Amino acid sequence: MALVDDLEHPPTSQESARRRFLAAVGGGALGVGALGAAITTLRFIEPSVVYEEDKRIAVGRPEEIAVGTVLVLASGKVYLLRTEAGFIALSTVCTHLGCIVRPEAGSGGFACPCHGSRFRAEGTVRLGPAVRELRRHPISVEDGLLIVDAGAFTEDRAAFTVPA
Amino acid sequence: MSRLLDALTRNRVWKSIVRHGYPDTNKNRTLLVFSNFFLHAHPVKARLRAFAFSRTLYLGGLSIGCFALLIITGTLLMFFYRPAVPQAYHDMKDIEFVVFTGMFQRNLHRWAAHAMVALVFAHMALTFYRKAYRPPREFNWVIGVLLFVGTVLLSYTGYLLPWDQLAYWAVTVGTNMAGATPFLGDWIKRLLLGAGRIGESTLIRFYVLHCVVLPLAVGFGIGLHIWRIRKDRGIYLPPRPGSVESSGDEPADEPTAMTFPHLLLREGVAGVALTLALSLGALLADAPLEDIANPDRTPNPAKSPWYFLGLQELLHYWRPSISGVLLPVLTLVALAAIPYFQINLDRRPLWESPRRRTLARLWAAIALLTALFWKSGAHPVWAIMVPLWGIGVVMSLGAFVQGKRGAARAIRERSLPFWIFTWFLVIVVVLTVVGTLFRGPGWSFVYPWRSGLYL
Ligand code: HEM
Ligand code: FES
Repeated sequence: MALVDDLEHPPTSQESARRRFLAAVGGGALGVGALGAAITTLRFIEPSVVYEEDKRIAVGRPEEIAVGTVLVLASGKVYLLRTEAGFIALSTVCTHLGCIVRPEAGSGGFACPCHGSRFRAEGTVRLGPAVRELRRHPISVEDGLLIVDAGAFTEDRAAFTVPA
Repeated sequence: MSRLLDALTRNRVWKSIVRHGYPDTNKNRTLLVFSNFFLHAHPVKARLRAFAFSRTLYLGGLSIGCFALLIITGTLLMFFYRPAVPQAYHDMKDIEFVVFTGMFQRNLHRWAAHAMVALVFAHMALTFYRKAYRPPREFNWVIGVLLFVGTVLLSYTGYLLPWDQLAYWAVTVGTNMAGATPFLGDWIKRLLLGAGRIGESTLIRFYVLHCVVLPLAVGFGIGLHIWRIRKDRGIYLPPRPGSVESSGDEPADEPTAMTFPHLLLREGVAGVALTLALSLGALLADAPLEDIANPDRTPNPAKSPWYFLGLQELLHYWRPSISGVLLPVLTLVALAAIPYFQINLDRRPLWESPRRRTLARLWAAIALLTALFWKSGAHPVWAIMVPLWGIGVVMSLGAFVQGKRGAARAIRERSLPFWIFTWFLVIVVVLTVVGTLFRGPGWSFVYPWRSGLYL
């Protein structure tokens, strides 16, 4: 194969234009290919299936839980309160960065071991850095049993009352 | 004995390997450095001033030493470790109590990792104060910043592997922090976790990052870093009194010395000293291993390793998108930008400008920052304000002290960027010390001399 030194034999302007066009097409194709490969690789790393287990807890008969009772469920990840207004299932996963809050001696609320957020007994923020109140789990009644779904959250702020 | 050595080295096989004679002539000493793959990052001769321990404290070299020790001990640990739940934790126990010298290897790996974080950070600080990032070394400073990030990420990913309480909660907080990134947060978090929450899929991800991706990246980065130093004709040396500064060839009168034996000997001594010190540490102190990870219960207080406690303390004040994302990213960008704005290089001393006006401006700025750090967070940020006032007072002394030498002169001659960088360093140290010693259960402020240490 004969190699032509482009410095000694400069291409004509038409030839240059042709080369620039081919270079642009070739470079563009490589770029698109690389982008596609990058996106595909990222998509490969991203999990496609996320396994979630059923985390519903059958607590017991609601009428047997007295007003003022606090039940600790799911090894401490859920606090079920029976207030005057009804049932509240608080998640103890801190809304700041996900540590498990603990009951705080004295205040009746919760304290977070990681960055010191403080929550009141019903979950509202008393001290930062957390800004959102503790999340709540949905509560329902099935076959006369009170069910707390520890795998789901609800935005509903009203306490749960057993439908008559 | 010498006959034996002769027999060993005077044959075709040996000569085919080293390809030069015994290093008792300058020619052979030149060839020894020049033709050896492992030594070719060195020049054959180096400027004498670059040898001085006091110039670099060998901090960069010692970082490389730590990296080498980490590769060796880490590879050994991999022979016994399975990234699975709950095997990972049991394998750690096996390494500690069953594997011959397993405890020692694990300790050495852990302490070398801690040492590397500290050494790399100190290396960065010293490089700043030496002003060694001046052109043409700007980009090597940026590579350095990336190496610092890589070093920290190596430590962080390594932390999950034992699958103990520390591991689990450090990674919970860390991945939730990444999740606070605007727009991309959820996606990044899922990419890191490999699932909705921490579990086996997270462990294997961190394992691959820790054992393959990050060591390769940091190893490559170190190679690039060193290669560029070599292309820049060695480390930066300030111009000698009386000679003009030149970024190219050093002046002909710059004294030099042969790399073999002088530089190699010094590097060897530093390497052996590092290995001995860390080995001693590994014999005396065991790396912590807490209870097996329990997703239902966070230890109280839940403290990350010391080099993250500054960040953890920061998270106590502002929301995660600020403390955990914005501030760290801004800090890194600011660090990387330093050489491109000639920061601290040609700036005039602060007190050359009219004294009254400078003082007034300085304290106005300090008052403004104080108000900001008082009000903006969930709590007043003393750990940032107190260093601010302290540095402000020391800076202001420059307007009044007279002396022509020593501390007085040093204070008068520093520029503003010098003080800002120093303030940054002091904040890092103070946040880390407060997080380490002064925080107890529920992250409340405690006095360690009254309530003891929570580590
Ligand atoms: C894995 C981490 C790192 C390693 C192994 C490393 C290694 C080294 C070594 C061996 C040197 C030679 C001189 C000395 O020992 O000081 C050096 C110089 C240098 N390092 Fe690093 N370094 C690392 C991180 C950093 C960081 C975080 C920065 C700054 C952000 C940085 C910036 C520089 C610069 C600008 C030089 C040139 C200094 C000069 O020319 O005098 N390096 N590094
Ligand atoms: S995770 Fe609860 S305060 Fe940070």
